Amino acid sequence: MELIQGFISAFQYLFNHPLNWLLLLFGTIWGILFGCVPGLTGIVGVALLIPFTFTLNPIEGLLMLGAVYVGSTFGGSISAILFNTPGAPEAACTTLDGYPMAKKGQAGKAIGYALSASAIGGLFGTIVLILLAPPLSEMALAFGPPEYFALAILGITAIASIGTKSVFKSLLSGMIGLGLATVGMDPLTSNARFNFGSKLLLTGISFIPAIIGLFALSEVLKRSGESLRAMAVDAGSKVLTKLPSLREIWDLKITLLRSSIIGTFIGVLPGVGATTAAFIGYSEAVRWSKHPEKFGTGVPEGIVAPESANNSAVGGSMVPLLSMGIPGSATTAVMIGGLTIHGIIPGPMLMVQNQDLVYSVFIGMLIANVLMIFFGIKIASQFGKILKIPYVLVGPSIIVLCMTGVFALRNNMMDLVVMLALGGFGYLLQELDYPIAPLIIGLVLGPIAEVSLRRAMILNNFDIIAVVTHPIAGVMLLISALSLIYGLYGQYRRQRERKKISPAP
Amino acid sequence: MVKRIVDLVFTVAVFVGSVYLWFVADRFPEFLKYKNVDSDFWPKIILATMAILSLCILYENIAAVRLQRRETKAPVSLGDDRSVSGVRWKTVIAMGVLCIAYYWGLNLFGFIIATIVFMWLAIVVIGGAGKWAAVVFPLIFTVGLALIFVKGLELSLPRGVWLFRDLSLLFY
Repeated sequence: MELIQGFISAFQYLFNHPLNWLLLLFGTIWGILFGCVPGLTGIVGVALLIPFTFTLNPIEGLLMLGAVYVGSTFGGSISAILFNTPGAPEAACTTLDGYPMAKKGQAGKAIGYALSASAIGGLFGTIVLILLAPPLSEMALAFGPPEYFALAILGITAIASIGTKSVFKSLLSGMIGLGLATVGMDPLTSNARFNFGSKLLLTGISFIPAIIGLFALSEVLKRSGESLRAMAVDAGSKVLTKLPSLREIWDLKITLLRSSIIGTFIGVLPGVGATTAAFIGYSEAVRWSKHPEKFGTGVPEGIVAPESANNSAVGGSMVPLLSMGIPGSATTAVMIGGLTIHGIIPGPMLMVQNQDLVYSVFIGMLIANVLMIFFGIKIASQFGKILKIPYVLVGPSIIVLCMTGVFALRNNMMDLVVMLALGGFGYLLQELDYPIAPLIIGLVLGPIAEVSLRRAMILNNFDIIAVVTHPIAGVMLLISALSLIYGLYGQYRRQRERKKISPAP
Repeated sequence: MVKRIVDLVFTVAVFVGSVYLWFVADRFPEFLKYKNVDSDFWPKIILATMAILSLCILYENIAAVRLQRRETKAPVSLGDDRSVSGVRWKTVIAMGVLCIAYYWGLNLFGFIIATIVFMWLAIVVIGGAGKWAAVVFPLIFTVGLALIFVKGLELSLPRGVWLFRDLSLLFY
């Protein structure tokens, strides 16, 4: 009853103040634009608008920031699909199947899948936020270091199945990612590790330059090596964003539901965020698929899984923010600034003292997800026109845009070095049939896995058995072990079949 | 053949690198408080796994060569050359060198000069663009991007050093 009254009151407020609608519209478009430019990201989009919220009232300010967050989470998939350049970290997974689908001449369809999945995931996450914020936040508190460690391992072990003939190469790529994540200061002891005396590397390998280098730069190098005829064929492509039919959406219902649930739950966990949600959503889609070998070739599930997961994580990450005052992601951490400017302290009392604010945010996020569909189509179509420009002009432009965007992040030239080095390394890995996705997953989940394991060991008197036998952690680790064994067995079986076909002389 | 050799060299390099970094990790300072889970705990797990995996891949490559020999009964072809032919390697290498040069150019000459020169050279290296597009597009793109970042978003761009810094300051 209280919920219904709260909603009615919030709706009345929104309808009586048309400025809120304008702010929602502006925020969604701003978010999509920031999301689709590599290096800019939703965090920058939110941070740039925070000073402007000073001139607005708290509800208006939070509506606008929430819309930016929603829009930017989808926006990254536009450049991910069209140019293999994730505009935001949470779109890194979308490149894996989005770009191959675009190369098959189905860029519009790929963007349509991304847009629908984002909207469905976003609406799911927001509805869960509305209905289940308090119990979900209590459940999140039950997640301790062993559970976080097991969650990271769950995401990493799925890499064994991702797009390669060799499970060992997949695992090694993931291990390289985990290894790169250890460069910099040890999060527990503050020891410098593997920086070889360089002060610039003390902050570690920053994630955004790494993914831009591994995806965008290596792709430009690869395309530069193509024949001029191959480049000219692509220049004729048209992008007509086409939303999937209801039938096509229905065929993907399991993937959508699973990824939305995963994304919402991971979004609720403090400090994890949409990027991790996207990767785990994708890796679970691979794990449970009847045809995991097709992932990476341009299948709809490969787009729908990460996009619904990352957008549902947006709603999920608002749960700890609004109910406990703990940011669920980096973007919500920045949004706290928007609340603080108005003297509002997020936490358990927020829902009691500022009900109008909370329910307005709920409605605003629902509306932003719907607006995203309309404006996402328009913006994607405009971006798609870039495909008509010859690649000889687009390729160097992408490099310039990436360098500029990466520099703008922290004004740190080391980020450019990281981007260049990993760009060349990514190119080499692809030529040697090492998949890039596991490396990215390792880089994202490595810090979570390490810190959680070490904390869990400390809390359990260095008894690893006690760590892995926590109920939730134990179940997740068991699933991880089984999927790894299954992946290795599958490879062994394929090799045996090949040997049978060609018997020894 | 080239690809297979590069693959073998890469795998050996990963193995040797893992072993080397293991000894580097061994020399990290120790903290009594974190006695069994010190700074080297996690890196050593990763490095040991990498070393084992690289040996497994080495074995896989050797097994693949033997299987290929059995199938074709021909002299060993140490790689799938289909992916190697048709790639303009000189262009790829030149683009890689240009990217590195662009990084240095940003530091020395600032964004505007470095970007225009980089784009002109990159277009020549990749090839296939019309003359007017090759000359005009980099100018428009660079100015447009500088305006968006500096005036629109108020984010700073590299200014360069010495005279070039003064020149950049005229614009942003």
